[in-house]
Amino acid sequence: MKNRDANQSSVFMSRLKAILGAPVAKVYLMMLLLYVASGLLEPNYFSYGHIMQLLVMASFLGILAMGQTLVILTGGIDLSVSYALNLGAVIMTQMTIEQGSLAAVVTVIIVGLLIGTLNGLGITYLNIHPLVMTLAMSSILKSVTYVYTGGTPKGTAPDWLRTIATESFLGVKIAIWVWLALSVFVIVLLTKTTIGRKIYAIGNNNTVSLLSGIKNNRVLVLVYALSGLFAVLSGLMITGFSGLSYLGMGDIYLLPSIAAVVIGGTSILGGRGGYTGTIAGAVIIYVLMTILTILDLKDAGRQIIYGLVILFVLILYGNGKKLRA
Amino acid sequence: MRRLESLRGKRMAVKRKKTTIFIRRNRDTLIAYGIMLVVLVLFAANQNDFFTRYGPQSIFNQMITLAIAALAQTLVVLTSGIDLSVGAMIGLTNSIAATIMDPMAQFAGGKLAGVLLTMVIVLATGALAGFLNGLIIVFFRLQPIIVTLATASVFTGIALYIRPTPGGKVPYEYTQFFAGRLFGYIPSSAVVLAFFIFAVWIPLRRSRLGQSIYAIGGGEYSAFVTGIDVNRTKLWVYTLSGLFSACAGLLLTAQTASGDPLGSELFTLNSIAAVVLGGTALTGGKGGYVGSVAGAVILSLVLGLLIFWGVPSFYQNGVQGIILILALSVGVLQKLWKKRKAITD
Repeated sequence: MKNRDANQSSVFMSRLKAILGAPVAKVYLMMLLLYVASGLLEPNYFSYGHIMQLLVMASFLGILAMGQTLVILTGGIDLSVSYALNLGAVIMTQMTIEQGSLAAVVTVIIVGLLIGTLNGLGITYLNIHPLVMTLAMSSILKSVTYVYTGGTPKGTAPDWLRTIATESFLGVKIAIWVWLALSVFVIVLLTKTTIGRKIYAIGNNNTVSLLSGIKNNRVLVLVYALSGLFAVLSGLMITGFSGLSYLGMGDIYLLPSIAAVVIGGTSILGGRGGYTGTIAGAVIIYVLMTILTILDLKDAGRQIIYGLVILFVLILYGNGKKLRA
Repeated sequence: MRRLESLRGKRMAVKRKKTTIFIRRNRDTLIAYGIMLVVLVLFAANQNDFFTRYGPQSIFNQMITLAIAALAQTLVVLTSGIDLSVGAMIGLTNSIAATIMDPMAQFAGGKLAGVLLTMVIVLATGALAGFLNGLIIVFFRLQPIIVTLATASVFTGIALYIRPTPGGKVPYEYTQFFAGRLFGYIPSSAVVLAFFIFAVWIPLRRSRLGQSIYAIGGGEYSAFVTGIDVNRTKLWVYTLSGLFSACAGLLLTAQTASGDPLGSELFTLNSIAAVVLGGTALTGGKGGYVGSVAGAVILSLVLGLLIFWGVPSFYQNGVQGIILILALSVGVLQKLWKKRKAITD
C-alpha cells in the first residue's frame, strides 16, 4: 500500500517537474512577475476586476497572435493582420446597418479567410516571400478599407457583439471564454493533429517536409487563411468592446503580435514553440503597456522601454548556436 | 563533320555565350530595369516639364532618400539578414540633424562649420546605432528580424526624446546644396546617387568585405569553414547599414528642411520592397545594389504617377501593393511560360 502511494506521488512529482521545467514556464513566470510589478506600482491592480479587464484587453492581441503564431511556426510572417483586423471591423459595423448583423458576421468571416488564402497563394504559387506578400496585401487592404468606408467608418457594433465583448458569464468575462475556447482549438490543432505536425515540419525544414510527402502549399495556404480569420475575429472583438470601428485601429497591434509570439518562445525561424507561450506573451505585452502608463512615461520613454524589454527577453532565451568548424 | 569556325566566328560565339550567362544571372535585376524604364516613360509622358531642367531634378529628389535607404538594406539582406530599424535610424538622424544644425552653427562659429559638424555627429550616430544592432545580433546570436524590430522602437523613442514634435531649423544653403543643383544644371541628388553607386557600392562589392558578404548570404556555415570572419563581416554590415541610413536621414533633412521622428516609418518597408524588386533575394547571396536602385526608382515614381493620374489618395496604397505583387510575379510567370513551352514543344 505504502509503495503504491509513493509511486503515484512520484509520478505526480515528475509530471509537475516536466511542466515547470518546460521552456514555456519561464514565460509564465515572467508574466506573473510583471503583473506583480504592476500591482506594486498601482495597488488597485491587485483586484479580480482588474485581472478580468487585463485579460480581456490581452485577448484582442491574443487572438490576433494566434494566426501570427501559426504563420511564424511555418517560418513565415504575416504583416497584413492589422488591416485585415481593420477591414473586418468596418465591414461589421457598416453592413449591420443595411443587411443586418448576421450577414455582416458571415461576410467578415469569409473576407478574413479570403484575405489569408490570397496571401497563402501569393506566397506558395507566386513564390513571393511572406514578408513582401503580406506587406503588399497590407497596403491593398488599407486601400480597400478606406474606399469601403469612404474615409469615415459608419455604424456601431450590434448589441450581441457588445455583450460578448463586455459582459461576464459565470463570473468571468465572455471575451475571456472566447479566447480560451479559441486557444484550446489552436493548441489542440498544433499538438494533437496531423496538420499541426505538418506545420512544425514545414517550419523546421520545408525542403525535407516536401520530400517527406507533405503538401507544403496546401498547409501554408491553410495557415495563412487561419491567420486572416483570427485577424478579423480579433477585429470583431475590439469593435464589440469599443462599440465602433475606426481607420487605423489595427496599427497598434501589428508589431506587438509578432513580439508576443517571439516572447512566448516561438522561434522566428519556425519549427519551434507554440501558442501556449504566445498567450503569456500577449499578457506580458499588455501588462508592460499598463506599467508604462502608470509610470506616466511620455511616448519617447515608452518606445525605448518597450524595445529594451523585448531585447531583454530575447537575450534571456538566447538559443543561437555558435559557429564551429 | 564539325564546321571549322573562323577566329572571328569563335569570338562572336564566346560573346554570345557570355551575354546569355549575364542575362540568366541577372535576370531579376534586368526585369526590374525593364519595369523602371516603363515607369520612367510614363512619368515623362505625364510631367509636362520633364524635358526642361526641372524634370530630372524632381525624379532624383524623389527617389534619393529611398535609394540610399535601399543601399543600407541591400547590404543586410545580402547576408540573409534584414534590418527593420532602417526607418527608425533615418527618423533618428533626421531629428538630430534638424535639431542641432542651428545651434551647431553658433557653437562652431559659422554656418558651414556648423553644418559639417552636424553631419559628422549624425553620421557617427547612425554608425553607432547600426553597430549596436550588429553587436546584439552577433554576440547574442539572435535573429536580425526581431532584434532590429526591437531596436527600431528604441531608436524611435530616442528620436522622440530629442525632437518631441516635428520641426527644427535647417539652413537654406544646406537644402539647396543637397536638394538643388550643382553648377546650375546637374541635380545634386543625381551626383549623390552616382557617388554611392560608383564610389561606394562598386568598390565595396569588389573588396574582401563585399566578397565575404556574398559568401555569408550563400551559406553562413560554408563561409565560416572557408575561413571568412563571419562575425566581423556582420558587424561591418550592420554598422554600414546604420551609416547609410544616417546619410539618407541627412538627405531627408535637406529635402524636408525639418525633422520628424515618426515620419520615416515607411522607409523600412519600402527599402525592403526596393531591394526585393531589384532582384536581391531575401535569402541572401544573390543580387546587389544596382537592382535596388531600380527598385527604389520604381517605387518612388509610381507614387508620383498615381498623383499625376489623379488617383484618389485612397487608392494609392492599394495600387502600390498590387504593382509590387505584379512586378515580383513577372519572374515566376516567365518561368511558368518557359515550362509550358518546353512541355508543348
